[in-house]
Amino acid sequence: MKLEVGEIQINDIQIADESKISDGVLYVSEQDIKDIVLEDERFASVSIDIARPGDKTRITPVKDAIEPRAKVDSTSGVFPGVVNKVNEVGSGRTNALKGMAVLTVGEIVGFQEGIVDMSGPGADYTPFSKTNNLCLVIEPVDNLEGHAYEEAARLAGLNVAKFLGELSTELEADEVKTYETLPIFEQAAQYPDLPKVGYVYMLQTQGLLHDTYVYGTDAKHIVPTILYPTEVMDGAIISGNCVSSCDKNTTFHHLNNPVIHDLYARHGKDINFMGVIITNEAVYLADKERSSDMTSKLAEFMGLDGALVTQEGFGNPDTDLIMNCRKLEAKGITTVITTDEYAGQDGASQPLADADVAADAVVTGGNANEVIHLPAMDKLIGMYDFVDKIAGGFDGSLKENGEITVEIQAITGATNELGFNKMSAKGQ
Amino acid sequence: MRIVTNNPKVNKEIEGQKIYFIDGDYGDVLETTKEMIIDERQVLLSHPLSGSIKPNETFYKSIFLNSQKSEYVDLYSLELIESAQATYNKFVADKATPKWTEEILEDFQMVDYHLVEATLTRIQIPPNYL
Repeated sequence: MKLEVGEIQINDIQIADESKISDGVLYVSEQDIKDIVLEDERFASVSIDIARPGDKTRITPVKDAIEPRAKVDSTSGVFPGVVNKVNEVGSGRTNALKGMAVLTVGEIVGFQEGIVDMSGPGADYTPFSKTNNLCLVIEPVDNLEGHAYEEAARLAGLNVAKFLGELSTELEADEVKTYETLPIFEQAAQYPDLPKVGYVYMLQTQGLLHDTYVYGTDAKHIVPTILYPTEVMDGAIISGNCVSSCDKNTTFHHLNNPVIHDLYARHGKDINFMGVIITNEAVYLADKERSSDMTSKLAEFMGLDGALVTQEGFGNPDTDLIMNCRKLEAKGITTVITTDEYAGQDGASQPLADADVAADAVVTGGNANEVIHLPAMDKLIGMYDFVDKIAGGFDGSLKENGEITVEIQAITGATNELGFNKMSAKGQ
Repeated sequence: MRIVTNNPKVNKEIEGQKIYFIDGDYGDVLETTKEMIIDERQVLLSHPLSGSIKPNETFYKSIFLNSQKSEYVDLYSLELIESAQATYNKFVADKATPKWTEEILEDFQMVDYHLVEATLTRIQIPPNYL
């Protein structure tokens, strides 16, 4: 499967009468966005705002981030099974609007987290301080239940991203990148002398506000399966996860999964990147055993010499991570795991809720309990009334002047377990 | 199968299941579960740290247990519950669970309730083989 990604750089976003992309600027008609979002009767209103890198702006509570994309000359569409019909994606040509994100903002539950500061010390911890952001602040109708609000917000963000992506289909891309993975026997034969490496992609699937969808289906009900890596770039995986903002994978993270990108960068040089095994993170312990058995079996079936495993979330998924690692290593597959830490505010406590001697190669995204002081910003997109209630927030952490003292787990993407951030630690 | 919970919404609205309701906090649910694993030889069916909401954030916890034929304590269940207790203690030592408003507590109940509901959809065949 071969995918060309046409990158269209967006240097600025402007509100305008007509939605279009011209000379690297995305012009957005407020009415177009309202028409898309408010078609869903579960919303009372939506307000649209723009945040740019360096602005003294705080966006919170952020739910999802999405990079607009569109298929070009194809019968299939991005985010299949969700905002386009179910159809195989991952081949042909896709345009991606780089340098920007659609952020959905709204208080789905009262304790919701997710801070994005566009400047100041907090900006260093989130990738969305470096993108031009189209923020959708969405208000539900009265008494809308949490699960319905989450679903509506999820679809609103994806529909807007789809609409914006489609503005690019007639444009010349600034750069075209090509990614290709062959069917399994051909892929193994292409680089017979290189170690065969696969990616085990763990998806958050515990229940309401903790879900991930694959081709539109709820991934808690799947058994592990194999994807071509390029399917992920077309939105085969989307986020329905609203909890633990520092280490949840937004849809933006899935589309731009750095493990997939880095494995492709080494593909044919020192490794043979064989493909992606997706698996889930269940609450039911029997599901954990079943899924980790299946994952290691698929890895063996693919003839892998090595595997990278990434986690999403905290606590319960530590057990899936360790089960996957242990069972892969038991099959002789050298395994590296990527996670983050909850090691206490002083960093001295046990960082994970599970461990095993087989987990002898670990990449960390950082300690989510680390405390940070965020100065006041000039502008707020979203709402503040929840900040004292967020994860990592202390009672009274929000001062009247807008300063906040929080653990970095409140910052969107701060300790992302795909490695989509700058924090890490290296052994000597 | 039984569900040990301190979530009033689970106690009230989950039908057709044996609910063991605890009038206590998150830590009390973990402790009672541990006692059931040791004293009654119960086996964990669900992960005691279910959900990404931190143990010093949410007040509510629901855990699935099942009886087993073996007369011995299930060591894996014991290991998981003790590890969950260590995690809980680590979090509350840094910062105690705040006294939430009623509205926020209802949101936490709702999320825990839906995790229970999702877990029930996954337990398709009752684990009579244990």
